[in-house]
Amino acid sequence: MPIPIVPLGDRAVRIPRPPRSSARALLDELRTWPSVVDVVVGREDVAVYFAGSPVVDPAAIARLTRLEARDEEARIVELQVVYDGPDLEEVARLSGLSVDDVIARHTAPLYEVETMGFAPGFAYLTGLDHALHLPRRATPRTRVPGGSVGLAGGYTGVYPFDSPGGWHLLGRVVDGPMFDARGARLRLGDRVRFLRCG
Amino acid sequence: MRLTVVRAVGLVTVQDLGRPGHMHEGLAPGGALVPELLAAANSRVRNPIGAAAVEVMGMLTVRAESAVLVSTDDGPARTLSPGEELTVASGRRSVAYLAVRGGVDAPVVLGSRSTQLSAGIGALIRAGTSIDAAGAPEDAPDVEPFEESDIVRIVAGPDFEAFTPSALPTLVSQPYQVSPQMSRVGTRLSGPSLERSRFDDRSRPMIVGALEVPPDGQPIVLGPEHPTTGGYPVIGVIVQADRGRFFATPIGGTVRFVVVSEGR
Repeated sequence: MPIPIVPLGDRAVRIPRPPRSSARALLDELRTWPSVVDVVVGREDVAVYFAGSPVVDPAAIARLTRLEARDEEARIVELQVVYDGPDLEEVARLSGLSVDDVIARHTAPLYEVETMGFAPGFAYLTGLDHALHLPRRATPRTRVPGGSVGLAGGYTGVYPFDSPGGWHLLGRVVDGPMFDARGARLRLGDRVRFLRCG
Repeated sequence: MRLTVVRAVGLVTVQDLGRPGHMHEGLAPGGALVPELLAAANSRVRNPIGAAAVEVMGMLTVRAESAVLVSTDDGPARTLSPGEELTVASGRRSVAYLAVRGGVDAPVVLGSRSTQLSAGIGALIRAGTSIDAAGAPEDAPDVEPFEESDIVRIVAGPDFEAFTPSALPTLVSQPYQVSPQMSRVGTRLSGPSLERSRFDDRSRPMIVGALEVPPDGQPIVLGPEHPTTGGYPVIGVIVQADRGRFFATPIGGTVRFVVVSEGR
C-alpha cells in the first residue's frame, strides 16, 4: 500500500512513520533527499522540510519501509543521575514498588531515543520497565527544573531546560547539560543508560 | 562601532535568519519574526539581508559611543554622533528592527547569531547591554517593499480528521484578531471558535506558521521558536510568502485567512 503524503504548508510534507522503523535510519535517509533542510521524526509521523516547494519521489517514499536499522552504529550514552526527585515516593506507591525498586528498574534498561521534540534536546526514551508505565500527573507543574529525569506514558526522559511539565520526576542528571552550544546531548537512535550516583 | 542600551522594554533580542538544520534534535530554526523587515533594515545600511540586527518587540533606546551608521526597517539610514540617542519601538507593527552597519555582533551558535531563549542561546537585551558591530562586508541588496495586507494565505490541513466539516469554512469566514498572548513561540488568535470533532492529543511534527487548535477552538500560530512537536491538531499552515506579513500584525490587529490549496 502506498504511504500517504500530506502537505504541511507549502514547504514541508508529513508522512506516516513506517511501523517499527529506526529513527536514525529514517533521519539519515530523509536528509539525503534533494533540497531537504530539516527533518523531524515523530512518534507516528515524520516531517520533511524543504528549501522550496516539496518534491517527493515515490520510489524514495517506498524505500522508507525497507530501511535497515544499523544497531551496531548506535552510540551508548550514560547519564549520571541523583535519584532525589519529588515524585519518587508517589511513583513507588502507584507502581506498588519500593523506592529502591523503582530506581533499580529505572537504571536497568538500555533505553533508545525514539523521537525528539517538546523542547530543544528533549529525547523520548523507549524501553521503560512496564511496572513504571504511569499516566502523566493529574496536575502538571508550571516549572520543572532543567536536568530533571521524568517518566510518563510509557516513556522516560530528561527535561533539558526549566519548563512546564507533567511527568513524574525521579531525579536529576548531574554530569552536564542536555543541550548546549554544540546542540543536543542525545541523538535519535542513541542507546541511553541511567547510572545511579546518589 | 558601539551602541549602549539606555532602556529596553519587552522582548528585545539579536536576530538573523536563524539556524535551520537542527529540528531533529528538537530545535526549531528561530530567527527574525519578520525576515522581510530584517532585510529592509539591513539593506539601508548596506548589510547582507540576513545580517544580525536587533529585533524590538517593545521599545529600545540606544546611545552611540562612537559614530555609527544605523537604520530601522522604516529608514532612512542615519549616522549617530557619539552621545546621540535613538529610540526604536514596535506598535504600528508587532516588531521593529534596528540594523547597524556591519551587522550586530553576537556569538555564532549552531550557525546563527540569533537569540533563542527557549534553547538557552543568547539573552534579552537590557539597559547597559553593549551592542557592537560585526564585520559584515558591504552589500547592495535589492529588497522588495514590504507589502501590507491583512490577507494571509494558508494550506489547509494536515489534520483534517480532527475537525468538524464546518471548522475550515469558519476559519475563512471572519477576521481573527491577534491577542496580547504573542511571543516568538506562538501567537494566540481570537475569533470564531474552530470545532474539533474529537480529542486527539497525539504528538506530531510542527512547523512555523502552523495553526494549532487547542480544545477551546482558538487557534495558536506557531512562531519561529515553536516546539518541533506538538499535541494539538493543525487546521492549516500559513504559506511561506505570507508568514512575515502575519507576524508583523500588531496585537489587536486582524487578519483574514484564505485557503490556497486544499492540501490533498
